[in-house]
Amino acid sequence: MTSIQPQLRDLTPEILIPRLTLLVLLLTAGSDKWRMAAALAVVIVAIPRPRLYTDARFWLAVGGVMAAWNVLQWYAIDNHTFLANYWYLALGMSLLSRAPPAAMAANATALVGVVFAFAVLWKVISPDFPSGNFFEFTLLTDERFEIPARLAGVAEGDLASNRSLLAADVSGTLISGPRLPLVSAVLTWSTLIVESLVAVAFLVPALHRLRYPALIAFAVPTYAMVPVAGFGATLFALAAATAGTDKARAGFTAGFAIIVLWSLLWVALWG
Amino acid sequence: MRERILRITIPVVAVVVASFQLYQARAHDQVAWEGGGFGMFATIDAADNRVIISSPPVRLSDSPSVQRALAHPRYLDDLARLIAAGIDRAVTVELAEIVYGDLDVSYRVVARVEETP
Repeated sequence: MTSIQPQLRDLTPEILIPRLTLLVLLLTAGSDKWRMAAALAVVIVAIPRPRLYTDARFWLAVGGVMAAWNVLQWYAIDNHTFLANYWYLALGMSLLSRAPPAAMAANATALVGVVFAFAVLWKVISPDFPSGNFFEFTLLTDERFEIPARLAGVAEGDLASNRSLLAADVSGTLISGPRLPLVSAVLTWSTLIVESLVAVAFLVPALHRLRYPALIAFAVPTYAMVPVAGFGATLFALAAATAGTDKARAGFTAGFAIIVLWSLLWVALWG
Repeated sequence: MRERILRITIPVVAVVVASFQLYQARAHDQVAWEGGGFGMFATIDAADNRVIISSPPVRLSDSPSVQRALAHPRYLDDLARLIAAGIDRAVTVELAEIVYGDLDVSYRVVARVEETP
């Protein structure tokens, strides 16, 4: 670790952020084999050529091609793919700036704020989120939430029965656990509070000191429980772009690596 | 001015797209989880929790036209047309969403299309 830290600190934002973004390109390629092949080809060609991946035209071209690809089925494209696409274009525009690190930071800060503001808005207006129904249903049926479901006292076999009921597309009653209402309520309100905190911290300049604590308060429990490498890695790449110090940038780069490694480990251990 | 444009254009685009997706979801029953509105993990109504029912019953693949119809009822017409042409008979296609409360799961039809070959 002592040999890695100085290297990370030596990397300027103009080199480090595009390099992380190349990895985001791979991690958000999804399951479409053509998209994955295209992303892999771009990364293999670009990685040994810093002059290429630090050129604004490279990222504007990547972002433009991805946008053209995404627009065809925009209603079925995951939100982290949208965020990554915005970031490729924002990175390209930032590299055209007279002060690329400041432009990257401004774009990344606004994008994180916008993402979390809409995430909170959706949860507030949703008919099932504030009532706790969303987390209750999700804990009982979504295998990604098996850890909190077991904490709620739902037996492993009952979770499997619930998933079978859902897969059969028939009406029925889900099997619950003794602490389900409590765990659902805790997840509902902690999610609303932490995501709101991230949104205001990134959108209100006067609250900039709250940005990193809020983001860490969101990321640690979320990705420990539900490791979604695509969104998590994109979020940390953006956080690294917002970092004003080498230490913060190194911290978010380490967070990026931890999320990716944890996601791989999760898949290896639990499938 | 140029510096400002370079710093706010993409976040503004993100707001416009997210607002449009929000409108589509509220006014036209598009799923919240996808489409750039950042409504993931906010509602039970995900494409995976929607079901397409056809009468007469036909085996529905996981094709792009099925995915489109699950994500947005507007595309149910296209799917009905494809099914009717495939089976050479009139067909009724419905999109049903999960309704959940007090541990009970049931399905509610939210869109219905009739198509003749």
